[in-house]
Amino acid sequence: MRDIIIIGAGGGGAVIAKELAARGLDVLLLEAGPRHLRPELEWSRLEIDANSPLTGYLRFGPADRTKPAWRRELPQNSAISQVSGVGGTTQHYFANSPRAMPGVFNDYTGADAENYDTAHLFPFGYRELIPYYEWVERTLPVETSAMGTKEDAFFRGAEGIGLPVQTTKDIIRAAFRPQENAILQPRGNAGRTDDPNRVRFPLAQGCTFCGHCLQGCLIPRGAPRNLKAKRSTDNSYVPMALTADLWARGGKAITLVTDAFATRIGTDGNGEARSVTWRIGATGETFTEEARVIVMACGGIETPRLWLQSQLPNPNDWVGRGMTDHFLDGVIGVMPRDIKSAFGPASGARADFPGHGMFINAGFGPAFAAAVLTFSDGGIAGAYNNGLPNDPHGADAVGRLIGPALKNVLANLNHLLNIPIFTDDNVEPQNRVMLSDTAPPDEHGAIPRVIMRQRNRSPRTIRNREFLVEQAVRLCRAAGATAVYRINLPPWLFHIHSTMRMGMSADNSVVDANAEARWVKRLFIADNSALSNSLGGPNPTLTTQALATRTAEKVFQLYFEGDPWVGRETPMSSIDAVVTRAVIERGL
Amino acid sequence: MKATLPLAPGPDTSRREFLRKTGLLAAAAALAQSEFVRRAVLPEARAGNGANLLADTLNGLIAFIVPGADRYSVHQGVSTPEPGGIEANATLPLIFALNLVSPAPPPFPAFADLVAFILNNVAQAVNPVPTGPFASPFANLSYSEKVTAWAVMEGGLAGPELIPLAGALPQLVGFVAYSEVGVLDLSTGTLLDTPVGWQLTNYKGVTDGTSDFKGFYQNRKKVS
Repeated sequence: MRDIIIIGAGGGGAVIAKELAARGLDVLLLEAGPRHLRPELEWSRLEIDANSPLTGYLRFGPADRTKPAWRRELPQNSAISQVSGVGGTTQHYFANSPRAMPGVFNDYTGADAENYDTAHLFPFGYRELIPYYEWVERTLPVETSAMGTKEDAFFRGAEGIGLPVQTTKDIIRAAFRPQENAILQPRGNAGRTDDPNRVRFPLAQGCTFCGHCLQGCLIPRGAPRNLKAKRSTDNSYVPMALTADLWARGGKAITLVTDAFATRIGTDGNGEARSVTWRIGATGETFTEEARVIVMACGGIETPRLWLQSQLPNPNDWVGRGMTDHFLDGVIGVMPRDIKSAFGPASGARADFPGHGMFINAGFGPAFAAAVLTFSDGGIAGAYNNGLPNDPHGADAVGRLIGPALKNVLANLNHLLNIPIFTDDNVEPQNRVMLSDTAPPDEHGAIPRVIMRQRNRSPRTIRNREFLVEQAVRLCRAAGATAVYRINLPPWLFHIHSTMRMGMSADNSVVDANAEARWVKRLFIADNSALSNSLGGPNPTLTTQALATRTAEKVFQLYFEGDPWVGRETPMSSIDAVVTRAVIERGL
Repeated sequence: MKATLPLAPGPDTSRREFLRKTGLLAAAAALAQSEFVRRAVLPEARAGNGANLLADTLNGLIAFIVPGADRYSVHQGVSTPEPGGIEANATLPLIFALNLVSPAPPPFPAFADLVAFILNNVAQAVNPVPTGPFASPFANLSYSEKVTAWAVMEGGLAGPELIPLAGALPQLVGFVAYSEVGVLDLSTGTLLDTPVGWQLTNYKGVTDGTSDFKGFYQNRKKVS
């Protein structure tokens, strides 16, 4: 019997794996997708090769790319962007690592406390999470982002609309700021040359401003895996977990099994979690192992799917319910000059609006940019609104851009000031993941049906989104944009949270304040699905990682008679020379 | 920079077998059995012009989303002097991608054929007898008629099942047309030419680094 089985090697599962491996536990980490062991050889960074949701190396599907991607039933105009494989969705994430809005925790007493989703707060205080944030921020590490030309344009716009600059990690007011990113900042030649021969490690260290965060980070070439610029968990936590015996006193390296899709969680006679069954994609073989504790970290869709498929208890019917997604929108400003939109970190700037949400700047390649501009719930710009108000808030047009309009906007990719909108959206039971009873099952059982009723979001959610769009349009104008477009996106699920939410009340939550399932002991949840809400708008990964660190401590205390370590010990950085030596020694 | 993209389906028999085993062959049934498709005349699909109908329809769609100087764009009345999606060789990759989205039930040989069937029937609802040189009624529509067809589908007037499809197709076309797929040498994984999408956007392409580091805002390198 293992000490612990963790299902999912993404943003959350990898954190628990590393933390408990460092405590010497026997950890089995299962990952449904592939393991990209040699990105410099495997990843072309061509958009069609990387980002096609059907065949890309960063898709949600099996390791064998000749096999179809895993399907989900989407009964509405919507899309999902998730990635399977070691590192999970952090393989293509922007590495933006903001802390959550303090107002979404139960100790918040600010004057604007009523502006948040007060019915769905975290069941503990923001102050309690800060040491865990700090632990993760030092482990990854998280650093203040450098500027490129596109960040400079964003900052000028933010200054132009009168926003102050934020100079703390905590979000304390409406303000703009350089991102806090899980990216090693440029040193040496990095960011200072276009010459590929001069940006190899160690001449260049950290971010080389290549602009390919979305296609997976492999730079600087020649760097050991743990010194790649972007701190996706395949570059940070997983290498640490695989070498825990070499850098942690008493540590024990984890066992990692990939191409292993968990299909069932078994319970014992007491209803406690006891086993995991998984299927190997390449062979179709199934395996079952027992463990003292099981952690689900399969992602905001697959975690509730696995729970329901395992027929685990769901007495309040909240498994899969309450999905939040930041109700994304997109505002695009066309600048009269080259702002090098496609280069640098995917996003190095953002603006926070407590009680409403936030927005960021972003750079894309041509194909992804086209995918953004052609995806709307508000019809074709200038032709019809598809039944939506389509308030432009000062933009020149609202809706999907196609035809000459699309080509005109994309005529100079590097002139685009792209602003994705992340709304502080309400937890609503209607938005949910369930098992499809109409679509045929796949090789792992009933497929998930993902329901997001975008035309029926709460008034607060809609109000927040409209507010943010208005601010983003103003910012684009202040930055000097000659034209501004609002896309009015349909649900595009990049941030999928709170489908197995941690809550104050047993009436509307699945896990308790320890992240342990309320109705199945020894079963914990450690991905975005465990979040209580949408964090007030900020990107979820850092908070999920802080929460996963806290959950690792809870597991260790509750079931292994261990002591907590956060706040008592100094974290080992994933870029420490000791870790680097371990990574090299182990051939990672 | 070497792509490993599987752009061609594996052996047809094994893929079909896989799809059959997983039940995916029935996945498109809901769409095919939608009220709109059932009311349409299925024999027309069987009697269609095969490959010409499929390619014509999807070319009409590509020209709608990313027009160029091609004859489909010219016919719809909206073309551009610079190349568009058809010149980007998006047609075959689009067919391949659609067929990966889902299999299709009989009489449709593949999902792309079902999509073409839907587009052509919606086209005929908008203009019963569109005139033009193409086998596809959708491709024979004018640009403004295509807009109307899209409003019909997206608004659910042709059945709610078509709403997700109407939302997804432009995005898929946009992504494929602006991607590198049309000039990707499948045998080597390398690019044969500069992709049209890169030309259209003045994109420099894949790089290991650029010299765009501008320092730190207010020279602040750390916050606490």
